[in-house]
Amino acid sequence: MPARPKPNGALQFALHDASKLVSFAKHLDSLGKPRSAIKVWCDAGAAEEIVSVLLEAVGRTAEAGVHRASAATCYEKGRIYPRAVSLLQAALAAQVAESFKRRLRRQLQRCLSMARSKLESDARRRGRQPMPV
Amino acid sequence: MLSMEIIAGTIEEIAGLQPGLFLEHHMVMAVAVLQRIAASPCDFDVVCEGFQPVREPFVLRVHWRRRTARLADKVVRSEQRKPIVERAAVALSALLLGKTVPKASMIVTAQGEHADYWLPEIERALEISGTDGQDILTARIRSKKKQVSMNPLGWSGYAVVCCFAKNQPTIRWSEVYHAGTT
Repeated sequence: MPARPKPNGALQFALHDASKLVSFAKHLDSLGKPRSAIKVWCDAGAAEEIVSVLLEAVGRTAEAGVHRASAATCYEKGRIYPRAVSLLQAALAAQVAESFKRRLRRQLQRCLSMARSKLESDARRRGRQPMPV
Repeated sequence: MLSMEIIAGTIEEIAGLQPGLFLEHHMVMAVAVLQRIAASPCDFDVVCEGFQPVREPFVLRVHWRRRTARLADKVVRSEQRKPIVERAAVALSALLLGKTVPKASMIVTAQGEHADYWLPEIERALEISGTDGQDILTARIRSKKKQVSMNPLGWSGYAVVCCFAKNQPTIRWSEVYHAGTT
Protein backbone atom coordinates (compact mmCIF):
# COMPACT_ATOMS: atom_id res chain seq x y z
CA MET A 1 0.00 0.00 0.00
CA PRO A 2 1.48 3.41 -0.90
CA ALA A 3 2.46 5.66 1.99
CA ARG A 4 -0.35 8.02 2.92
CA PRO A 5 0.65 11.69 2.69
CA LYS A 6 1.17 13.37 6.06
CA PRO A 7 -1.85 15.23 7.43
CA ASN A 8 -1.99 18.64 5.88
CA GLY A 9 -3.11 21.47 8.20
CA ALA A 10 -5.12 23.29 5.53
CA LEU A 11 -6.80 20.08 4.46
CA GLN A 12 -7.71 19.05 7.99
CA PHE A 13 -9.11 22.49 8.72
CA ALA A 14 -11.15 22.41 5.49
CA LEU A 15 -12.44 18.89 6.26
CA HIS A 16 -13.61 19.95 9.71
CA ASP A 17 -15.12 23.18 8.40
CA ALA A 18 -17.11 21.44 5.66
CA SER A 19 -18.20 18.62 7.94
CA LYS A 20 -19.37 21.02 10.62
CA LEU A 21 -21.42 22.97 8.07
CA VAL A 22 -23.00 19.75 6.76
CA SER A 23 -23.95 18.65 10.27
CA PHE A 24 -25.26 22.13 11.12
CA ALA A 25 -27.38 22.22 7.94
CA LYS A 26 -28.83 18.80 8.81
CA HIS A 27 -29.56 20.10 12.29
CA LEU A 28 -31.48 23.11 10.89
CA ASP A 29 -33.43 20.77 8.60
CA SER A 30 -34.35 18.63 11.57
CA LEU A 31 -35.57 21.72 13.43
CA GLY A 32 -37.87 22.54 10.50
CA LYS A 33 -36.05 25.77 9.56
CA PRO A 34 -35.75 25.33 5.79
CA ARG A 35 -34.93 28.97 4.96
CA SER A 36 -31.94 29.07 7.29
CA ALA A 37 -30.95 25.55 6.24
CA ILE A 38 -30.82 26.45 2.52
CA LYS A 39 -28.22 29.15 3.16
CA VAL A 40 -26.09 26.79 5.26
CA TRP A 41 -26.41 23.99 2.68
CA CYS A 42 -24.97 26.36 0.05
CA ASP A 43 -22.08 27.28 2.36
CA ALA A 44 -21.50 23.58 3.04
CA GLY A 45 -21.44 22.89 -0.71
CA ALA A 46 -18.76 25.54 -1.24
CA ALA A 47 -16.73 24.15 1.68
CA GLU A 48 -17.01 20.58 0.32
CA GLU A 49 -15.79 21.79 -3.09
CA ILE A 50 -12.68 23.26 -1.44
CA VAL A 51 -12.10 19.94 0.36
CA SER A 52 -12.35 18.01 -2.91
CA VAL A 53 -9.78 20.28 -4.58
CA LEU A 54 -7.36 19.97 -1.64
CA LEU A 55 -7.75 16.17 -1.61
CA GLU A 56 -7.11 15.98 -5.32
CA ALA A 57 -4.00 18.11 -4.90
CA VAL A 58 -2.50 15.51 -2.54
CA GLY A 59 -3.49 12.60 -4.76
CA ARG A 60 -6.47 11.36 -2.71
CA THR A 61 -8.71 11.30 -5.78
CA ALA A 62 -11.31 8.77 -4.62
CA GLU A 63 -11.96 10.78 -1.45
CA ALA A 64 -12.14 13.90 -3.62
CA GLY A 65 -14.93 12.16 -5.55
CA VAL A 66 -16.89 11.42 -2.38
CA HIS A 67 -16.60 15.04 -1.24
CA ARG A 68 -17.65 16.28 -4.71
CA ALA A 69 -20.73 14.08 -4.41
CA SER A 70 -21.31 15.53 -0.95
CA ALA A 71 -20.96 19.07 -2.37
CA ALA A 72 -23.52 18.15 -5.03
CA THR A 73 -25.97 16.95 -2.37
CA CYS A 74 -25.43 20.18 -0.43
CA TYR A 75 -26.15 22.29 -3.53
CA GLU A 76 -29.18 20.16 -4.35
CA LYS A 77 -30.53 20.87 -0.88
CA GLY A 78 -29.59 24.53 -1.38
CA ARG A 79 -31.57 24.43 -4.68
CA ILE A 80 -28.53 25.32 -6.83
CA TYR A 81 -29.23 22.48 -9.26
CA PRO A 82 -26.88 23.39 -12.16
CA ARG A 83 -23.91 23.39 -9.76
CA ALA A 84 -25.05 20.04 -8.35
CA VAL A 85 -25.19 18.61 -11.88
CA SER A 86 -21.62 19.69 -12.70
CA LEU A 87 -20.29 18.24 -9.45
CA LEU A 88 -22.12 14.94 -9.89
CA GLN A 89 -20.67 14.60 -13.38
CA ALA A 90 -17.20 15.21 -11.95
CA ALA A 91 -17.81 12.79 -9.05
CA LEU A 92 -18.82 10.06 -11.49
CA ALA A 93 -15.34 10.23 -13.01
CA ALA A 94 -13.72 9.28 -9.66
CA GLN A 95 -12.59 5.76 -8.73
CA VAL A 96 -15.40 4.92 -6.31
CA ALA A 97 -17.57 1.83 -5.86
CA GLU A 98 -20.02 1.04 -8.66
CA SER A 99 -22.97 0.88 -6.21
CA PHE A 100 -22.14 4.46 -5.18
CA LYS A 101 -21.99 5.53 -8.84
CA ARG A 102 -25.47 4.05 -9.39
CA ARG A 103 -26.75 6.30 -6.59
CA LEU A 104 -24.98 9.27 -8.13
CA ARG A 105 -26.52 8.59 -11.56
CA ARG A 106 -30.02 8.56 -10.03
CA GLN A 107 -29.22 11.80 -8.22
CA LEU A 108 -27.87 13.30 -11.47
CA GLN A 109 -31.14 12.54 -13.28
CA ARG A 110 -33.12 14.12 -10.45
CA CYS A 111 -30.93 17.25 -10.39
CA LEU A 112 -31.06 17.62 -14.20
CA SER A 113 -34.83 17.49 -14.09
CA MET A 114 -34.99 20.02 -11.22
CA ALA A 115 -32.49 22.31 -12.99
CA ARG A 116 -34.61 22.24 -16.14
CA SER A 117 -37.89 22.99 -14.39
CA LYS A 118 -36.32 25.76 -12.30
CA LEU A 119 -34.79 27.40 -15.40
CA GLU A 120 -38.15 27.18 -17.18
CA SER A 121 -40.05 28.72 -14.28
CA ASP A 122 -37.41 31.49 -13.95
CA ALA A 123 -37.72 32.20 -17.68
CA ARG A 124 -41.54 32.36 -17.43
CA ARG A 125 -41.29 34.75 -14.49
CA ARG A 126 -38.84 36.99 -16.37
CA GLY A 127 -41.14 36.93 -19.41
CA ARG A 128 -43.97 38.39 -17.34
CA GLN A 129 -41.86 41.28 -16.07
CA PRO A 130 -41.68 44.54 -18.05
CA MET A 131 -38.39 45.13 -19.89
CA PRO A 132 -36.08 47.54 -18.05
CA VAL A 133 -35.99 50.96 -19.73
CA MET B 1 -13.05 -12.75 37.71
CA LEU B 2 -11.11 -9.77 36.32
CA SER B 3 -12.90 -6.44 36.41
CA MET B 4 -13.38 -4.65 33.12
CA GLU B 5 -11.49 -1.51 32.16
CA ILE B 6 -13.56 1.64 32.63
CA ILE B 7 -13.24 4.54 30.22
CA ALA B 8 -15.05 7.60 31.54
CA GLY B 9 -16.08 10.88 30.00
CA THR B 10 -18.71 13.58 30.10
CA ILE B 11 -21.07 13.86 27.17
CA GLU B 12 -20.30 17.58 26.94
CA GLU B 13 -16.71 16.68 25.97
CA ILE B 14 -17.76 15.54 22.51
CA ALA B 15 -17.75 19.06 21.07
CA GLY B 16 -14.00 19.24 21.80
CA LEU B 17 -13.25 15.61 20.93
CA GLN B 18 -14.91 15.89 17.52
CA PRO B 19 -14.23 19.38 16.16
CA GLY B 20 -15.54 18.44 12.72
CA LEU B 21 -19.13 17.93 13.84
CA PHE B 22 -21.91 20.13 15.17
CA LEU B 23 -22.98 18.04 18.14
CA GLU B 24 -24.58 20.47 20.58
CA HIS B 25 -28.06 19.12 19.90
CA HIS B 26 -26.89 15.49 19.84
CA MET B 27 -25.44 15.71 23.35
CA VAL B 28 -28.75 16.99 24.70
CA MET B 29 -30.57 14.14 22.96
CA ALA B 30 -28.10 11.66 24.43
CA VAL B 31 -28.89 12.91 27.93
CA ALA B 32 -32.61 12.72 27.15
CA VAL B 33 -32.13 9.01 26.47
CA LEU B 34 -29.61 8.32 29.26
CA GLN B 35 -31.77 9.92 31.94
CA ARG B 36 -34.36 7.22 31.36
CA ILE B 37 -31.76 4.56 32.13
CA ALA B 38 -29.89 6.02 35.08
CA ALA B 39 -28.84 9.15 36.89
CA SER B 40 -25.41 10.43 35.86
CA PRO B 41 -23.16 8.48 35.33
CA CYS B 42 -24.52 5.71 33.10
CA ASP B 43 -22.37 2.65 32.34
CA PHE B 44 -22.41 1.01 28.93
CA ASP B 45 -20.91 -2.43 28.35
CA VAL B 46 -18.86 -2.06 25.18
CA VAL B 47 -18.59 -5.34 23.29
CA CYS B 48 -15.85 -5.28 20.64
CA GLU B 49 -16.16 -7.63 17.67
CA GLY B 50 -13.91 -8.44 14.75
CA PHE B 51 -10.89 -6.49 15.98
CA GLN B 52 -7.42 -7.66 14.95
CA PRO B 53 -5.73 -7.86 17.43
CA VAL B 54 -8.61 -8.72 19.75
CA ARG B 55 -9.95 -5.82 21.78
CA GLU B 56 -11.26 -6.73 25.22
CA PRO B 57 -14.71 -5.54 26.32
CA PHE B 58 -14.76 -2.47 28.53
CA VAL B 59 -17.16 -0.10 30.23
CA LEU B 60 -17.90 3.37 28.86
CA ARG B 61 -18.97 5.48 31.82
CA VAL B 62 -20.90 8.53 30.62
CA HIS B 63 -21.39 11.55 32.88
CA TRP B 64 -23.46 14.64 32.12
CA ARG B 65 -24.09 18.03 33.65
CA ARG B 66 -27.26 19.30 35.26
CA ARG B 67 -27.63 22.10 32.72
CA THR B 68 -27.67 19.57 29.87
CA ALA B 69 -30.21 17.50 31.80
CA ARG B 70 -32.53 20.50 32.02
CA LEU B 71 -32.27 21.05 28.24
CA ALA B 72 -32.90 17.33 27.71
CA ASP B 73 -36.21 17.54 29.56
CA LYS B 74 -37.41 20.07 26.97
CA VAL B 75 -36.20 17.90 24.05
CA VAL B 76 -38.18 14.90 25.29
CA ARG B 77 -41.34 16.96 25.19
CA SER B 78 -40.78 18.40 21.71
CA GLU B 79 -39.15 15.67 19.60
CA GLN B 80 -40.08 12.18 18.44
CA ARG B 81 -38.38 9.19 20.01
CA LYS B 82 -36.67 7.69 16.93
CA PRO B 83 -34.59 10.74 15.92
CA ILE B 84 -33.69 11.27 19.57
CA VAL B 85 -32.33 7.72 19.83
CA GLU B 86 -30.41 7.97 16.53
CA ARG B 87 -28.74 11.25 17.51
CA ALA B 88 -28.02 9.96 21.00
CA ALA B 89 -26.16 7.09 19.31
CA VAL B 90 -24.09 9.58 17.28
CA ALA B 91 -23.22 11.47 20.47
CA LEU B 92 -22.22 8.30 22.29
CA SER B 93 -20.14 7.10 19.33
CA ALA B 94 -18.41 10.48 19.23
CA LEU B 95 -17.47 10.03 22.88
CA LEU B 96 -16.45 6.38 22.44
CA LEU B 97 -14.22 7.08 19.43
CA GLY B 98 -12.87 10.33 20.86
CA LYS B 99 -11.72 8.46 23.97
CA THR B 100 -10.42 5.30 22.31
CA VAL B 101 -9.20 6.47 18.88
CA PRO B 102 -8.10 10.00 19.81
CA LYS B 103 -5.98 10.63 16.68
CA ALA B 104 -8.93 10.19 14.35
CA SER B 105 -11.66 12.80 14.33
CA MET B 106 -15.06 12.12 12.81
CA ILE B 107 -16.32 13.95 9.77
CA VAL B 108 -19.64 13.70 7.95
CA THR B 109 -20.51 13.96 4.27
CA ALA B 110 -23.96 14.47 2.78
CA GLN B 111 -25.31 11.72 0.56
CA GLY B 112 -28.95 12.04 -0.43
CA GLU B 113 -30.99 11.76 2.75
CA HIS B 114 -28.18 9.89 4.49
CA ALA B 115 -25.19 11.11 6.49
CA ASP B 116 -21.99 9.18 5.92
CA TYR B 117 -19.45 9.32 8.73
CA TRP B 118 -15.71 8.88 8.18
CA LEU B 119 -12.43 8.81 10.08
CA PRO B 120 -10.15 10.05 7.28
CA GLU B 121 -6.92 10.11 9.33
CA ILE B 122 -7.07 6.33 9.72
CA GLU B 123 -9.01 5.59 6.51
CA ARG B 124 -12.07 4.16 8.20
CA ALA B 125 -15.74 4.38 7.26
CA LEU B 126 -18.20 4.57 10.12
CA GLU B 127 -21.82 3.51 10.52
CA ILE B 128 -23.77 4.42 13.63
CA SER B 129 -27.18 3.41 14.86
CA GLY B 130 -29.21 3.41 18.04
CA THR B 131 -32.02 1.28 19.39
CA ASP B 132 -34.09 0.98 22.55
CA GLY B 133 -34.48 -2.79 22.47
CA GLN B 134 -32.08 -5.73 22.72
CA ASP B 135 -34.34 -7.78 20.41
CA ILE B 136 -33.31 -5.99 17.22
CA LEU B 137 -29.68 -5.38 18.19
CA THR B 138 -28.22 -8.34 16.29
CA ALA B 139 -30.13 -7.56 13.10
CA ARG B 140 -29.14 -3.89 13.34
CA ILE B 141 -25.44 -4.66 13.79
CA ARG B 142 -25.56 -7.02 10.82
CA SER B 143 -27.13 -4.35 8.61
CA LYS B 144 -24.64 -1.68 9.74
CA LYS B 145 -21.66 -3.98 9.13
CA LYS B 146 -22.96 -4.60 5.63
CA GLN B 147 -23.21 -0.86 5.02
CA VAL B 148 -19.63 -0.35 6.21
CA SER B 149 -18.40 -3.09 3.89
CA MET B 150 -20.13 -1.36 0.95
CA ASN B 151 -18.65 2.10 1.54
CA PRO B 152 -17.73 3.86 -1.72
CA LEU B 153 -14.03 4.23 -0.88
CA GLY B 154 -13.49 0.54 -0.17
CA TRP B 155 -12.09 1.37 3.27
CA SER B 156 -12.35 -0.86 6.31
CA GLY B 157 -14.44 0.63 9.05
CA TYR B 158 -16.43 0.50 12.25
CA ALA B 159 -20.09 -0.24 12.92
CA VAL B 160 -21.27 1.15 16.24
CA VAL B 161 -24.74 0.24 17.51
CA CYS B 162 -25.87 1.67 20.84
CA CYS B 163 -28.61 -0.13 22.72
CA PHE B 164 -30.36 2.03 25.29
CA ALA B 165 -32.17 -0.83 27.06
CA LYS B 166 -32.94 0.13 30.66
CA ASN B 167 -31.71 -3.14 32.16
CA GLN B 168 -28.56 -3.52 30.07
CA PRO B 169 -27.22 -0.50 28.16
CA THR B 170 -24.76 -1.86 25.62
CA ILE B 171 -22.60 -0.68 22.74
CA ARG B 172 -21.68 -3.20 20.04
CA TRP B 173 -18.54 -1.96 18.32
CA SER B 174 -17.48 -3.98 15.29
CA GLU B 175 -14.44 -3.57 13.11
CA VAL B 176 -15.23 -4.51 9.52
CA TYR B 177 -12.41 -5.29 7.14
CA HIS B 178 -12.98 -4.51 3.52
CA ALA B 179 -12.17 -7.24 1.04
CA GLY B 180 -8.52 -6.88 0.08
CA THR B 181 -7.38 -5.54 3.47
CA THR B 182 -6.36 -7.44 6.56
